[in-house]
Amino acid sequence: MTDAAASAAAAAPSRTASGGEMLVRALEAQGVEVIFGYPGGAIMPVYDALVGSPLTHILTRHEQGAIFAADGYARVTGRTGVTIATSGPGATNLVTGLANALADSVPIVAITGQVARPLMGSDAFQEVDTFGITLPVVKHSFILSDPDSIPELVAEAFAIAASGRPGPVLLDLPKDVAMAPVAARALPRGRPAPLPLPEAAAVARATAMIREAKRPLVYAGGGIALAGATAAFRAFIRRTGLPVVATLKGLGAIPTDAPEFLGLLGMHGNKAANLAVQRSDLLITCGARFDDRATGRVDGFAPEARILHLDADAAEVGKIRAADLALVGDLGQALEALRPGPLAITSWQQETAQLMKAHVWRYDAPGEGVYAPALLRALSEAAGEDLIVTCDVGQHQMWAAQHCRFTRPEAHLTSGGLGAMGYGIPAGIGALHAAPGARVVTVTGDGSIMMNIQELATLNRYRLPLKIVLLDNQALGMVRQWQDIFFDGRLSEVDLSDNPDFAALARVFGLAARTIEHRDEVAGAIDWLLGAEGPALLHVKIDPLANVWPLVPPGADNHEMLEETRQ
Amino acid sequence: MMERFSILIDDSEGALMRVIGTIERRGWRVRALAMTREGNRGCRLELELARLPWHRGDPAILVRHLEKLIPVAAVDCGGRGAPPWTGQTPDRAMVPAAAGAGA
Ligand SMILES: Cc1ncc(C[n+]2csc(CCOP(=O)(O)OP(=O)(O)O)c2C)c(N)n1
Ligand SMILES: [Mg+2]
Repeated sequence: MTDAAASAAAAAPSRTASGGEMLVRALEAQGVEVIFGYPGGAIMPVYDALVGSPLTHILTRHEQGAIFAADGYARVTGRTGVTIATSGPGATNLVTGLANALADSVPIVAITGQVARPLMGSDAFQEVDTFGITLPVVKHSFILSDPDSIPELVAEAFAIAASGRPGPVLLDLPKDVAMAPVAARALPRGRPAPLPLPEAAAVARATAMIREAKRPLVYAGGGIALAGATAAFRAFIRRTGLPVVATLKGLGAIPTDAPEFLGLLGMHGNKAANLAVQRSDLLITCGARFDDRATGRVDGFAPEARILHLDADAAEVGKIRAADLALVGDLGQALEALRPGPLAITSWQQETAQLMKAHVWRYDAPGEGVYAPALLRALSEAAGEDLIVTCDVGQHQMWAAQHCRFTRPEAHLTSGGLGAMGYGIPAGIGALHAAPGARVVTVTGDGSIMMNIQELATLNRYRLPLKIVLLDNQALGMVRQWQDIFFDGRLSEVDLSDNPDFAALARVFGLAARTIEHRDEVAGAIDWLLGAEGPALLHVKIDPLANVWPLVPPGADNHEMLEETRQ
Repeated sequence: MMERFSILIDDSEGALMRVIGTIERRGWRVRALAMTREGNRGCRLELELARLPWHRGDPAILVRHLEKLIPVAAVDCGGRGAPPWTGQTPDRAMVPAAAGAGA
C-alpha cells in the first residue's frame, strides 16, 4: 500500500477488515510483492484476503519448497522473503526452511495459520505448538493473539528479520483472530535498526595491526553480502592489495578470477587458500564465523595468526576463536574506515601468487566420461555475468563452489550452515522471481533432486525458465565418499542405482530434458540447456566413484589435505 | 564450575523459554532459578548455571547470545560479556563513512 493509501485507510476508521485482510494489507505496506505459500484450513481467512490483493502468491507443491523459495528470493534481492502455510503439518513442513534461514542469516517472515485461540492447547485438529517447535530455529516469533496489533507486529517482524544479523521471524495467526473484525487504520512500516558504527580508537588499532602484519590475509564470509558491504569490501581489497580466501557463503564477495582471490578455504577448499591461511600472521575476518567446515581442527587453524574480527554479531566474536581485536557493527562502514596506506607485503603477495600457480585446478581427467568439475567450469563460463547458481547438497555442491565463476555473492545460493538437501530447485524458483531476467541454473544431485522433486510442477505452472543440471552418480555420493575413505569402504545405504529415468520424469512434469554421458557431448548440451526456452533439465551421468578433492579429514588441520592420486 | 547470571526480561510470550532454551543449547545446564517481578520493567531471573564438561562454554559468549534475544533487556554475569576490544559505546567518537585516515 502506498503512503497515500495508508493515510486514506487511517482517515476511514469506520471501515472494518478481518484480521486476515489486515495481515495482507500489512504485508503490502511493507512493500512485499511476492509470497510463496501453500493453503490449508487454519490459514484460509488469509488466503481469502489474497483474492484481489496486489501481492503475487506463488503456489509451491510443498511448504518446504515455499520457504526455500522465499529464502532464494531474499538472498538475491536482499529484501525479506515471505512464506505462508497452514497450521499443523503446514507449519512443521516449514521447520527445515527456518533452520536453514537461521543458519545462513537470511531475512524471512514466515506466517502460519493456527487453530482458534480457545482451541489452542486442546489437541485440536491440525494443532501443533508451532511457536514452541520453532523456538530454536527462529530469530524471533510472535503469536498474533490480538487482532488490533496485527499491523504493528507485522512491521516489527520485518524490522527484526532484517536488522543486524538477519534471520527468520515467525508469525503464528490463530484462525479466530484472522476472522475477527479490525478497524481499518494506518499501517506502520518496519525498518531495520541501524548498526553501530566502528569506534575511532578501535579502527586506529585495527589499522595499526594491518600495517604491522607481514602476512595479512582476508577471510571473507557471507556477512559481507548480508551487510550490503560488497562494494566497500572490494574497495578495501583494491586499496590494500590483500590476498583473500572465502567461505562457501563468501564466494563472489570478490570475483573468483580477481588476482587477490586464492579460493575457497576449508574442508573442500583449494590448497592455495588453505596453505595461505596456515601461513598468515593476521587473519582479517570479515563477516565469517570460524565454522568447522572452514577451520578444520580449530586449534590448528591459522596457528600463527592474530585475529581481527569484523562482524555484525557480537556473539560471534570469540565464540570459536579468540579475537585480538574486533569491530562489531556495520561491516561496510568498518571497511570504509580501514585505510592502512601502502603495505609492505610484496614478498607475501608473491608467495600467495606462487601458491596459486602451484595449485591451479586441473581439468584433464582421464577417460571419456563426463568430468563434473570441467562441465561446471564450462557452464559458468558460457552462462556469463548474470548467472545465478543455486545448489543442492553433496559432492555436486562442492564442485560448483570450487569450479564455477562467481562475480557477485548473490550469484551463488547454497545451503551453507544447514546443508539441506532439497534447497536447490526451490531456491532457483525464488531467484527467478527476484531477478526475472537472470540466467538461473540449479546444480543438483540424484539424491537431492528427489527431496523436492514436486517443485518441477511449480516450474511448469509458472513456466519459470530454470535450467537444472543434474549430476547423477547413482549414489548419495558425498556419503559414499566418506564411507570409502573413513569407514573402510563399507558402503551402507548409499546406492541409488535404481533411480528413475530422470529425463523422462522431467518431461512428465513439462520440462524439456536431455541425458548425456560422454565428454564430447558436454559443449552441445550446455548450448542446448542455456538456449532452451522454458524450464529444462540436463541429466548428466557421471562416474559413480568420482570424489571431491582436496579433502581435509575431519579433525585434521587444513594443511593436511587428502588429494587425488592420478596415474 | 558454576556461574551466576542475572537477567532482566520482558513478559512477552516465550520470553522464559527463549532464555532457558538458549542457555541449554549453548552448553549450560540450569542448576537453580528464581524469578521475581520488577514492577513494569519486567521480570528478573537469577540463575545458577553449570557448564557441560565437554563444552567450551565461555560465559562471556553466553552473555552475548542472551543479549541478542528480543525479550532480554539486560544480562549480568559479573561484568563478563562486555566487549573491551570494541568499545562499542554510543557516546564515543564514531567514524563516519569514508572518513578514514589517509590512503
Ligand atoms: C535433508 C538431508 N538429509 C541428509 C543429508 C546428508 N547428506 C549430505 S550429502 C548427501 C548425499 C547427497 O546425494 P546427492 O544429492 O546425489 O549428491 P552427490 O553427493 O551424489 O553429488 C547426504 C545424504 C543432508 N545433507 N540433507
Ligand atoms: Mg548423487
